[in-house]
Amino acid sequence: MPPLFSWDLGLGRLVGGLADDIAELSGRALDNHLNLAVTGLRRSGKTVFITSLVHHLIDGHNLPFVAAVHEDRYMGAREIPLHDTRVFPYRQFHHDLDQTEPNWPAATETLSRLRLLIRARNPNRLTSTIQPIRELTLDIIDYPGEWLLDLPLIDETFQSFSEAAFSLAQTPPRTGVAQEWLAMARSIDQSSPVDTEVVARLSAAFTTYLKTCQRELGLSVIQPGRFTNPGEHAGSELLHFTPLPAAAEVPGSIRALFRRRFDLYRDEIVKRFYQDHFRRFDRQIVLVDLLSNLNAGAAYFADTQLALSMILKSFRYGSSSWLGRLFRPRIGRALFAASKADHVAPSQHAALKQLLELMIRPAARSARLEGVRPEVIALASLRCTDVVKTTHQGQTLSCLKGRRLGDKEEKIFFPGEIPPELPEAEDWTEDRFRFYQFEPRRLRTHGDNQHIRLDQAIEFLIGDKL
Amino acid sequence: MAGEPKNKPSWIKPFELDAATANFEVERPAPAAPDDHEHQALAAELVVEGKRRGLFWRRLGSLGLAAAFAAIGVDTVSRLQDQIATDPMIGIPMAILLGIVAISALGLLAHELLQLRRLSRRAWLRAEGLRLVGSDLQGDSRPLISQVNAGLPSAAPILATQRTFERQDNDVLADGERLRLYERVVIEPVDRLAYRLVLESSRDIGVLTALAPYGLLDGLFVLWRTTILMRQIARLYGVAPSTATTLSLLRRCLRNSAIAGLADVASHALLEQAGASLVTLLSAKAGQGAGNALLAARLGLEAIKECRPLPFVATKQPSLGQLRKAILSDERAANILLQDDEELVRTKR
Repeated sequence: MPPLFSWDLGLGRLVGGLADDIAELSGRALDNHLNLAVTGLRRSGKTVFITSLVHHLIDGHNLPFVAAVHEDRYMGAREIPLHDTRVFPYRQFHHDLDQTEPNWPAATETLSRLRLLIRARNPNRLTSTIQPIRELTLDIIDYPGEWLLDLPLIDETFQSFSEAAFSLAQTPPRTGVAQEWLAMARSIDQSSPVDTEVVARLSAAFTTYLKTCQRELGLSVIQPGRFTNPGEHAGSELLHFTPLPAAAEVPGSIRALFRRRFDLYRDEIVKRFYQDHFRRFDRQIVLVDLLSNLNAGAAYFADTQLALSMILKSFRYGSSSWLGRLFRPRIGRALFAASKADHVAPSQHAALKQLLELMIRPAARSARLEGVRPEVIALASLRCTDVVKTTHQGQTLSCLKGRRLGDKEEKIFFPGEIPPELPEAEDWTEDRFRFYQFEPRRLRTHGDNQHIRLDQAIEFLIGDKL
Repeated sequence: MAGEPKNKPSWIKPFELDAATANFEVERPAPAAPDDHEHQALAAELVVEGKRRGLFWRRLGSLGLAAAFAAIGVDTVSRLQDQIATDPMIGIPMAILLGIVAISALGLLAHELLQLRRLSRRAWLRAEGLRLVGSDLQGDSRPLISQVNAGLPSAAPILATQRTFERQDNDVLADGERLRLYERVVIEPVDRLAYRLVLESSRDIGVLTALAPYGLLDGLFVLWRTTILMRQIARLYGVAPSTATTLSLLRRCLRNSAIAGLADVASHALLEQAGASLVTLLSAKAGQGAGNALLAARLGLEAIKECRPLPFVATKQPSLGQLRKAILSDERAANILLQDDEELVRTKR
């Protein structure tokens, strides 16, 4: 039998959360607190990036491009416990990767947060008498990549959202899989009173369509994001609506219900998510899995490009003043990283970087406009291949040695080449882009060659505060 | 195949290699490329050519000088012949003696020319470094680095930094990244030591100019101390400090100071003017000392630029302003400029 009174009113968590907020605010006032936005679509490598970043910051080894490490000032880092949110399960992911048979972390299903305290000796001899050690608190959040696509909905109405969804559903490669839902949505009488069965069938068809787009077609522009990955809203009525063709709204009708649910979804879920987690970023890394996009084909490549442009409009770029840093921070440094760079030979990194630069040019416009010049790199958070040279038909080729996803042992592959420019229609032939996925290698403490350019990313993102 | 281009594709399909039959090797640091002397000499000329002015007059002067030496040679030989003819007892030993002198002079000349060539090779290395430093490609940085390594002195601390670099080097780094890493790990400690030498020498010059009783004495002292500084810096960066290299270095530094110094002087003119006149009010000699010290510092900075095998990219060269602060007895500024490298300092002395 449950007790009549429960003394656990969540007071501990409330007080703890308040203490966390105060610590953050004071850190921001003293300019030693940074919120890092790890942005990326589904399966772009956010969780592995965060795990490897934290591992290397704690380990302090093999980071030659981090100035504080190079100058022997770097002292180390440790995790700070947080009270009010789900904590990023770093230890578990690290443990999974630090095995003789390591495993990739499972796809992220919910939001989690991590706070890291980083310490380095002050390089400035003048101020070091007052402050011999510099401390930086770094906040990172991990979340399902699908949720990012919700951010553009903040400025939408039910009408504009519906129009965009219909026009997208009528363009390839979505046309085929959207038929059932489209037919259903067009056939119903929007002004009829609410019939729960019709509502359930319509929203189920819409959810199936979105899930097929995401899981079978591998597309990125999936709106609303919680329909495919509901997190804590699983089973909620808020997720039972679909876009509808333009029509006049009658009170008590299906359209009125769907419009209300959309408004609630936008205001209660998306806006809150944005307010709580996405408003306060100072630095940003955008991870893009270019290789999977090239594998998937022209339509998917364009779809990712569109998704990135939509997402990046939701972030505020520019330089922050002291007051701005406290209450309305802006992203002052943005880094675009082509993740999984270890899946191609190092000789292809220049082309990978160049291709990403071309791909994100439209998306990065808003940052450029605010005077933030985005940097682009080819990065691998966890390196799982070695480079091997071979001769093939008289040509020297750089190949990779690694364990392909599902394989038992390591083999040698020529992974293919990256086009240095945006591929034209004739470049998308059937077997040109077939980049392999690899199993992880063990993430060791004090290990060498465990990443590609993670140190350069760290230096760019937080190096100035160390 | 759908969408197959009509032309033969310029790309290779991804494939798996058969481990039993394929011929492959694991990527390791590439061995140093053989010295391509012709290419290097050409590039060095190209680099220097832009700066050369008055080539015609220089050639004319060299021709005149060569003619004068030839005339002296011919005259000496004919005199010797006369001497041998009239008095072989004196003439033959004299001929042998002059022969020895001539051979050693030629040897010395060859040695000096070789050292000069080494100094001008630095310009080629720097130009090559500058070309690669922004490169995202691979393959050219390792040969260049092994050439730079070969040109540095083989002192224990430098060998240690070279080993650190080899440990941190990675087969995925692009040329630009590898060069920046090398500059920070290997060259930066040498720079710090060179700044220390510059600082010490300018302090010596400043103090002694202020103390020396005669004007002529300061002049001689400044010349002597600056020459020592040039030789020290050259040795530090692995350029043998022969007379010709020292003179050439001094000449290049004076020329560069005259050109590059203008901007520096312009930006600091007001400050210098106010500071110098204030010091002059206290003592004319002290003012002169400060001026000489700054001149020596600028020459030292120029010598570092000339001897350094790579351009300044990942690390910044201190400005004259920073050095001035350090010279004019701001101990803390000096410490910022020169982090402690006691071990390296001890080894190099």
